[in-house]
Amino acid sequence: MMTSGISVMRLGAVLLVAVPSDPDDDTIADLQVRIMEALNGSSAQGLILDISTVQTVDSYFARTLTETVQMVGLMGGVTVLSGMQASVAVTTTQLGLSLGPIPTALNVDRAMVRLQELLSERQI
Amino acid sequence: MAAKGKQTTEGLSWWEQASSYQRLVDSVDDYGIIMMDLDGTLRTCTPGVQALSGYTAKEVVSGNFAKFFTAELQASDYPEQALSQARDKGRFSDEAKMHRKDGTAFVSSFAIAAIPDEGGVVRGFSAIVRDVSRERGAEEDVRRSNAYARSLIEASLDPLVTISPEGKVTDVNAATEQITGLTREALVGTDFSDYFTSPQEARAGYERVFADGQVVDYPLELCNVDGSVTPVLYNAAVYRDDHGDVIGVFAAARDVTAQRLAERRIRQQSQEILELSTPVMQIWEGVVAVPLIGNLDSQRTQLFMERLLERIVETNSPIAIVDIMGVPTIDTQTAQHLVETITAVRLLGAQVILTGVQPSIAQTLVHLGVDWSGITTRSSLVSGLKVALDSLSLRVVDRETGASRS
Repeated sequence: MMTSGISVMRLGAVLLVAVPSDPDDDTIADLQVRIMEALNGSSAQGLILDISTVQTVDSYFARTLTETVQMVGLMGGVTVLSGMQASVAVTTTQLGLSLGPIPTALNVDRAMVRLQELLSERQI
Repeated sequence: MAAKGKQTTEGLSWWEQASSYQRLVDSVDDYGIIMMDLDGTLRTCTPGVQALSGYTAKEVVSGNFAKFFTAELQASDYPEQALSQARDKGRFSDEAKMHRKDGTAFVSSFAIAAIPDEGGVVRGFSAIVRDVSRERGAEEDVRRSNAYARSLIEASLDPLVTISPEGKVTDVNAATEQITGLTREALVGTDFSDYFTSPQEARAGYERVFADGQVVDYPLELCNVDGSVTPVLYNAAVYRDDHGDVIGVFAAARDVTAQRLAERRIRQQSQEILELSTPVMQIWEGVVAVPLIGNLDSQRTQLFMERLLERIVETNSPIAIVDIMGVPTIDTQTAQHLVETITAVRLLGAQVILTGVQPSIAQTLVHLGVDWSGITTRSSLVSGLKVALDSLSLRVVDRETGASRS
């Protein structure tokens, strides 16, 4: 299962998943499975999805992302989407692809801060 | 004079007998008929002569035939030549300028015939004179009006051309010669479509004229032999003969090089204005601001959106303040574009604070039914900046007192 260039790293309680630059449908499906597996076998509560290298987003990708975020939420985790490129943001909104209320951050650094905020909010 | 003395059987002189013909033609008044001696001395004339020249018979009979011609012709040997030719060949006809008694000139068509006696010896001449000024004048008018029409065509600064139904050039004016760099002779008879960057479009153009009767502002590009290309707009229509049948197409091109340049310049300038009008400034670490001024159309909003997103990524700013104080009116589409921009910014991981919302704009936005929930808005840029600093956990502090200013 180590195909398709998806990298899943664990940093303490945070899973950092980097999405390859031009993911095909299989990779996207694989991504969801990999995230679920990684989350299941660890104590990680936070997930950072880094899409900074992704050039294009289609409806399938958008839906899978939204689904994954919901799944992570059901498993008690919190997701932050980080590093979307400006051009991707333009096409995504113009295509009307809703990513819903997924928390976002400009980069992994900020995503980490945001994730800590969200997790601490939840603990209250 | 030998003829004078000779008597005929009736006892009438030769001249008296001959003049009996005069009665037959006396009623003809638009022809002057005269009879004269070998040396051109008038013997008789019909009333038509008076109608023509204004001279009475009394005034001209016994005078010389040459008297009818204008002074210049009298001075030359034209009258004598006319008579001698008539004597030699039996007949002479020509058109020449004559003058009337009142001094006015007219163009006459005259025929002189030699009159031989029974022995075949030429004894005198008859001459028939007609005023053809009107006909010649009409011809002259036609010639002049043709020349006038032609000169107008040639004077046209627009290249004019006529095209046959086969698509051949049938006539061109000077402007066409100039714009193509070819002479009239080289152009006439060749294919009209050969002189354009796109022969297909040129052919489609004149075919449409034959089909629809005309085309207006048909854009083509004319080639010059030197390789230069002139953008033109063609106005063309069919022209017809007397029976109303289409003979060809008359096409006038308008050189639109200057307009094209001006259009390009205007486009460039509006692009520049567009870029100038949406400056995205970083006003603090982590905060960019855009003052939007003027009406927002789709093109401008698109550019604004792209630049804002790029700047957010570039400066790594989680906060963007969009000030719409300078936007006079807003419509559904513009509002939708704004919402899109805000959504896109959010996808990047940044947040938009909309400031400078005027009462009238607020009213419109509510009436338009745009969903503004989840969008932070403030009435002024100042309060927007305060929100921005606050969410960055920053504070402006008075240096003297240490009191917070935001």
